[in-house]
Amino acid sequence: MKRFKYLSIPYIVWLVILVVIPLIAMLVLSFMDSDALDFSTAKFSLDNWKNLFQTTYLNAFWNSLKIAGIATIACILIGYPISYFVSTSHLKNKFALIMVLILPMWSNQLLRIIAWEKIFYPVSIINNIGLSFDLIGTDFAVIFATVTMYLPFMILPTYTVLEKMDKSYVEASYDLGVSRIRTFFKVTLPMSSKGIMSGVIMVFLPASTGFAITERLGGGKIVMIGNIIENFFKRSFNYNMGSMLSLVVILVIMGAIVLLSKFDKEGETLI
Amino acid sequence: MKKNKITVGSVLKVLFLGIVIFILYLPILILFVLSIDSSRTGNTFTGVTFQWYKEIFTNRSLYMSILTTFAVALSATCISAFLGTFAAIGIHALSKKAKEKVILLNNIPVLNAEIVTGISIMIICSFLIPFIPDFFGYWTMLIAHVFFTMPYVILSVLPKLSELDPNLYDATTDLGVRPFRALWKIVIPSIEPGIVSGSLLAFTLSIDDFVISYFTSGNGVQNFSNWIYVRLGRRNFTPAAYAYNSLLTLVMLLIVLVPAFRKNKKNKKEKN
Amino acid sequence: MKKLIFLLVPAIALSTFVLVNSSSSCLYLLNWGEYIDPELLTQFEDEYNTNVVMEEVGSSEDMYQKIKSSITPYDVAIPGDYMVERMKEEDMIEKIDLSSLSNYGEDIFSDDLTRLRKEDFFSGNEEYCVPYFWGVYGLLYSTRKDYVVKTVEEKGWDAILKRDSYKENAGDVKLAMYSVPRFGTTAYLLNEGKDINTNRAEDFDGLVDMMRKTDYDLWGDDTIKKQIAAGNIDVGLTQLGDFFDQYYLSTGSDEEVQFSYSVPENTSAFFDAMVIPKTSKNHDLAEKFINFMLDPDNSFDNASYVGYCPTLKSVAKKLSEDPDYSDLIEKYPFYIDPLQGKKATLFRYIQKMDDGSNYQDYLQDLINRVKA
Repeated sequence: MKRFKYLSIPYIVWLVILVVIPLIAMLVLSFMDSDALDFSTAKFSLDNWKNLFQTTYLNAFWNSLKIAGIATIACILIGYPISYFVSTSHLKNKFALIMVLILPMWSNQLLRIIAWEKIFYPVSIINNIGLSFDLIGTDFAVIFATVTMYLPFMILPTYTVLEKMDKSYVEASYDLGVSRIRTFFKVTLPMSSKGIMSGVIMVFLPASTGFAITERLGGGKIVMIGNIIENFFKRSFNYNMGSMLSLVVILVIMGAIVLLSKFDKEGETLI
Repeated sequence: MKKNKITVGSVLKVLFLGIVIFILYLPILILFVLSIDSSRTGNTFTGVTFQWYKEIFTNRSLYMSILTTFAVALSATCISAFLGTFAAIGIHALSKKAKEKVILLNNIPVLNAEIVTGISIMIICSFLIPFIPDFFGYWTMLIAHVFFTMPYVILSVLPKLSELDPNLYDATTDLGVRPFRALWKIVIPSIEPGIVSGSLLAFTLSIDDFVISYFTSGNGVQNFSNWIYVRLGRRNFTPAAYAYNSLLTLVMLLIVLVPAFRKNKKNKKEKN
Repeated sequence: MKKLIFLLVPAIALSTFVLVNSSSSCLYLLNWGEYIDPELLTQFEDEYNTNVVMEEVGSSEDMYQKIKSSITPYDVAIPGDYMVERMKEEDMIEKIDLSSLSNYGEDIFSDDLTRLRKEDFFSGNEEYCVPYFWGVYGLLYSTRKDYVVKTVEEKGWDAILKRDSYKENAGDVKLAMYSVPRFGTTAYLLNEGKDINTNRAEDFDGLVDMMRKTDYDLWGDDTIKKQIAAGNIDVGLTQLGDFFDQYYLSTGSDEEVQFSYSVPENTSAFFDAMVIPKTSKNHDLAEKFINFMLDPDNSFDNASYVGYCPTLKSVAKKLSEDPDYSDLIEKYPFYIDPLQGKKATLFRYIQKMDDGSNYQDYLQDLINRVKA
């Protein structure tokens, strides 16, 4: 199959144009002080990077980490057990059940956010059934909605990995007299860790860099790094700061993945 | 055959599953209620009506945006699946070092904030304007969607390729089958689960995208999420959007559940 | 793979349908959401035998970005005043040949607006932009609670800037602030009696402390009017047009209108204007469209649909004489006369603060610090 390596060339070219060039552009922009993309007035400057440690940005990073982090952990604690229970059950229609859990993902996310607004604002349609919550602007509302939006992204990879896992290891463990709980922690969990990793990436990334959920359910009060980047790219057109912050986000996440992959002995950088 | 015992454990499991499903579907339930509410503001329930369902077919900007969403999602999924599979085969054949580098690049769109991806594509596309006028709108959105979905297809297919027995391909070519035919008839069917899950993921991401679509739309072409985003606080947002969403969910549920029930019935029949 | 080919058929079918429907010769209009009567577009299409492709955005900045990216060859755009100034400075818009506009005249626009454009706006602006709708900034408030009505009417900007204006009800009242930094900081400047177009950092001293102390319950733009109508928020800073927009929505849904609008003594005015971006390939058609919108009957239809203040004197007169609207105008005279004799200034385009930093970034940073 080695002859097919030339098939990858078009894709590499595509990646270079659409990924490498913008990355380099972002890197260059982050070291400049320019008027949007007008390079004629641009001059080299370290100001952007110096501003990185301003309180507002550190706060935003912290908010993002906190909210996305808690949401991700919640997704693991809820999603993995679900995948495990469905996978180890003897239902005939396991796949259909998983699909039912995944279906909400196909509903438009903006509409689902509107639905959560109706639930979390005190005066809304749910008053008709006597309920009223006043949770807009709270971290809880944002985290709760984030979990419900991204839970399917945790269920899918963990279920896939659990399903194709070689059950004979588990059987062997039971045969050797190991208890179910120990087997789970010593055999099943490590073997399905790759699925959890995929899930973590698919949940943490959009949760930390998104802006729609915090804008609408956080009442505009919670500022995450996604909101700040959005402001730079869409309001003040300060592509320099926007690029700088985006690069920091990419570096942090890639750094985390590299660290985590040290624990992944199989060496596949599967997402 | 294991007997299904009703234990405390299994009851708790079912309860847990039930609660999770309820919470996941709660927003969808609310959207459904809003779609039959005759009030346009959705502040209180003023009466049942199906007028919003009818409106899906009469509101031109709405149904055009829905059609655009599907056109882009389906096309992007097909293109990504096809090109992505071949790209993955190519990448799989690279040396370990080259492979690692390419995978790293491949992951960048996945790791990047959507707004950054959207803006980069917009900027690159706008450099092409002098050469290809009238290019914008549908084509740029399509290219953008292919761009951000392909990495996922590749990441779903690559593991399947590494699980593949390399001798299979070699044996086929040894028997005189030409390389591409071997690829098409032997390799691809073996990695099909990866292609399917990658395509599913691509479709899911494309159908719901709004940030990247926003920056790459033009010429009046917009997708459903864009349609909603611009109208979020304003009067021309109609509950017809909720109606469409509820219809979509219903259709999807039927597609998933009906075959499952029929399979169940068939199995029960066979047992008896 | 067979399944994929199965998907390819609908993909191609839908794509063809979408592409065929993307128009060929037409007018590209860049507008705000819900800012034009759709029937007028159909009327224009029939009268001039063309198609109108309209894209909608939510802010002047979005308009700027879309025009700058040259993705679509917009013929007419309707940015806000300060954005018109920015576009003129950056050479993004073309001169409009006013003599070719049959509906144009020296004195067709409201006196207040004409005065503001002459005294308070960049010189020569008459040739670059034609006013579309205008208004002022003020307080939209819920009429459900008596103390809210009282405080808003007595205290002006303090009602949105200082929570303790509500004395014993300070904990109960729900306040909302506009999330666009420029408009949010303007309330502070107006209250302190400063120039809303100042770029001196010292003028903003005290803003962060004051607004942080107020602890707003909501930051948003279009959400504010929706939530005030619903009753989740009591007072919010919004544009005048938001009031009528929400008014029409509520009455259209047969909901009781439990909100009203108050314009403080010292406020800022704004206007949105039609411009012709340099990307336009159809300058003549663009001018025809602008002329079409200046026709008093068309403008009247538009004003009664959109709910923002009409800029044409003839339209204001017609609205006040129309039996359908005279009640509304009696109750809310600022519909046709937004200033009501009050003092107001226009927003100008400001690029940098006096210390050289980017103006928008500076304001955004202030707001971020308030929220932190």
